[in-house]
Amino acid sequence: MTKNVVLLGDKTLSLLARDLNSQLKQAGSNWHAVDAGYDSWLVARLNREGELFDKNTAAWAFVLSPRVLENVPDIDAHLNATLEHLASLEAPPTVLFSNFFQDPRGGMPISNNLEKHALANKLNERLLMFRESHSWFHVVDHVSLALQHGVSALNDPRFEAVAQVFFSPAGNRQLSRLWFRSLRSLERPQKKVCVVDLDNTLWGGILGEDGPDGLQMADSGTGLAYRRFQRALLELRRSGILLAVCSKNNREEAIEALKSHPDCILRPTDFAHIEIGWGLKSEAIARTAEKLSLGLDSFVFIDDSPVEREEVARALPSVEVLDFPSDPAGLVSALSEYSGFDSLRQTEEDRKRADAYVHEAQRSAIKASSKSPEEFYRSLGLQLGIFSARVEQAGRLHQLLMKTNQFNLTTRRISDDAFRALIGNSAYMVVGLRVSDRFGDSGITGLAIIDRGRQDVWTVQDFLLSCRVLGRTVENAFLSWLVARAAGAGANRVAVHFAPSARNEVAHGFLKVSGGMESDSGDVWTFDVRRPEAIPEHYVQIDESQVS
Amino acid sequence: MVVDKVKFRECIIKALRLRSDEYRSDLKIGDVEQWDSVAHLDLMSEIEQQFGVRFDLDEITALTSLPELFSRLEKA
Repeated sequence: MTKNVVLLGDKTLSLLARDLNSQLKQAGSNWHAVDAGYDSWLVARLNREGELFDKNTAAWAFVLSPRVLENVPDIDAHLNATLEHLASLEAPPTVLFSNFFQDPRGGMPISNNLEKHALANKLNERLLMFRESHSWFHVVDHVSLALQHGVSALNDPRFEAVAQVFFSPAGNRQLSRLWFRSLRSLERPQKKVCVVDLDNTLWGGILGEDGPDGLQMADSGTGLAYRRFQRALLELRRSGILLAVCSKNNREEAIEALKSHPDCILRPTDFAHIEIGWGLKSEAIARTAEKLSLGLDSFVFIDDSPVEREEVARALPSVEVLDFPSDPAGLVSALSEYSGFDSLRQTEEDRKRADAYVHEAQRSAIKASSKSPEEFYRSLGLQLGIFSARVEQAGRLHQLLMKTNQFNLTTRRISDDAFRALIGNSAYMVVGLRVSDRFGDSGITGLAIIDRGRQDVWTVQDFLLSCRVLGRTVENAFLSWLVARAAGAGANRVAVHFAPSARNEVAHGFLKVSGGMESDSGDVWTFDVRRPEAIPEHYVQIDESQVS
Repeated sequence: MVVDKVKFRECIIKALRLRSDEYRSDLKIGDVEQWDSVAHLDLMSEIEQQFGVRFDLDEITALTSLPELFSRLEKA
């Protein structure tokens, strides 16, 4: 089904619409761009009927040029009015908004630009703040576009004069590429794992032949190219992408180089999984996928050897194998030009994901050395924070509701709007859960929606936990807390809904030993508030200070 | 300069996204659906790149037929 994205600008965007549509069509995208014309971004014009509110319109894209900063008096107030207008819409569409950059080619003395840049920075801050609290709002990075290519390469005064376009035909090719990637990232699952080879990929040289001292990753010469690539991978990791190693080497030697080579930036703990040996790389990558419980279609593979790339591409067609640049100096741009890791938004949880995998490995090690499960749980120092959902967290909580399959009692999927309405409805208690232990904070990893409209019984319509925090008695802790809370409010029982799905056997397993009474039809489990001791023990310290 | 006619033809076809049977050496703006005011900008930009010329502001508005464009290149 075609989804329209309406392009709203201060200048004509017909060139962008056309280039974008030919790229989108070629990629098999569902997006179709429609240019709303000159000055269509002005707030006074956002109310009008027509394409903006057409039933096929799924997104509005504000594509602004530096001319708004020169032509719109009081741009600051105007931007605020625009954002307020968007926030006031009953059902806001997905909104993409370009950030602001200045055209430095003015007639004023050179120092005058400093104030102009400060204005653009201030507006950009405002966009980021607005994005924080509105999950449907995304910022498209025109600033990086301008920095990378230069304003002179994007704008041609001749074309601007004859056709009211800020972006020249050449500039428009860069602009359309950026918007193409942005729109695609909204409809395509992001790749999750970047698997890299070591020799002549992560560092220059071959460990087995050149020895650790012969490896190139120093701060100058050829080494710098590899060093910058390692930095880029580290940035990727901070954005939530997992890194993994797949190398043919002697394991001990290679790990030692990663661990203690003075020039190496990436260390073993930066990788979610490391495969070093002499077997087939396709098999090593398949093991990595199994270990991380992720599908091979979320894997990207980077290796300098055409033979290895070919082997992996043949054996694992769903793994994306990147072309390797002929010159190591091209490694960083090969990564930044690749669109599979694109995402317009990173949640706090995305940023923590890579660390979470490392912590899980450390927990496994403790578990293996603990004498009993109790000892293991106690040594973790588990804490559960329960909080009443606020609108600012709705984006993350709704994402959990839509994505959680295994520990999800009902697998009920509801729209973002309906979910927000529940948060505002006092008959419901919508609570989020954060789990932490001595290794760190998992972020928001659980959700429960409780109907407390009746005096005698609280009904749990949804209860779900990310599989990252399962198996640590957190689920028992939450249930105990809820039953006590219901008792405190005068209810005499808690009814927990259950609906079996193809993937929630683990949730069913939890209920079977939870101490609740199963109804004849199996779709409700009831807990008597006078018998809290029926619920299995937990080893979690609960913080309910943020429950209102 | 001596203008390579084949190169000129290829350049027009690419910039205006024409089918090869739509090309005529006497085309002017509006004759084919593809050559509208937007595509005209692409055409000017592409010709500049391919033939190493630079049109001034007035020429961009005035050079709206292939014969005019061709003779402008010959004079370069």
